Amino acid sequence: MKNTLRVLRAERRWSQAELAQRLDVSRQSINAIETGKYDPSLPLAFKIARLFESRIEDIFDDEFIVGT
Amino acid sequence: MTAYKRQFLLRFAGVLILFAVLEWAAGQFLVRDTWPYVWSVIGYILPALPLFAIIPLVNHYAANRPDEALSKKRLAPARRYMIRLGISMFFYVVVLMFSVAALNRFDLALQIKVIMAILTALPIGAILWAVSSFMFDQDVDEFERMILARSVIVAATLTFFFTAIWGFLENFAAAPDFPLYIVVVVYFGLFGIVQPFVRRGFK
Repeated sequence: MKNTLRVLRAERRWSQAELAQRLDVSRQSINAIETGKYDPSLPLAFKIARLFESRIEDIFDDEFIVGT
Repeated sequence: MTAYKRQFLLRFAGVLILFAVLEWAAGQFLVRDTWPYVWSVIGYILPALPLFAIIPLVNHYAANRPDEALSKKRLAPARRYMIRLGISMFFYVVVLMFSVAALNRFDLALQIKVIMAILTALPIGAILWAVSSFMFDQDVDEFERMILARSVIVAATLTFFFTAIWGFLENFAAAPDFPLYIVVVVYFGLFGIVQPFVRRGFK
């Protein structure tokens, strides 16, 4: 799923490892989520949203799935 | 592959090679048929002790990865898994040595042989349980769990496929008999081999 995680992370100047540590997940998960190859679980999506003080739908974009 | 990971894999392989060499040496130079049954079994079990070195080795690797500092909560299941795996593997060696030596030395009743066969397989069940319980542990990183689950599916599917091929080879082309317990070894081997490929799909 497309998402703005990489942008949000860059804005805060966090490395993937740093973000992983803040979310208590592996760095590989962050990488896989950023490239859109892995969709996080709902609890993790909420955790990400909370960390960046925004809503899940503002970070993750499922439109290309709905549209097709 | 990072230098850190390479160093870890080399050490891991080193432990396994040390185990194999010590077992071989015990059979060649140490244990004699004239020894009492229990002593000869112990002679084969002692060289398996280095297997336990895998536990601190993996712990150290997981706790000090330069690319990834795992929290205590994340490290705990990995530690549990390694301890379970180490103990199961060691018990497997112990039970196997006792059974094989008994089969070689004594004329056992069929009932005893049946019980021995089941007992020898039990630690393998424990190893399979250790892997599954790690995979189902909610404290393990969810992405990691997904990778492991996919690896299990791929490894099991390939194992079924290979054993099916071999089964027909045995029937059609008189291929050598494939002992069924090797299926577990093939499965675990494939489980290790397919993981990097499964991981690559998410990079």
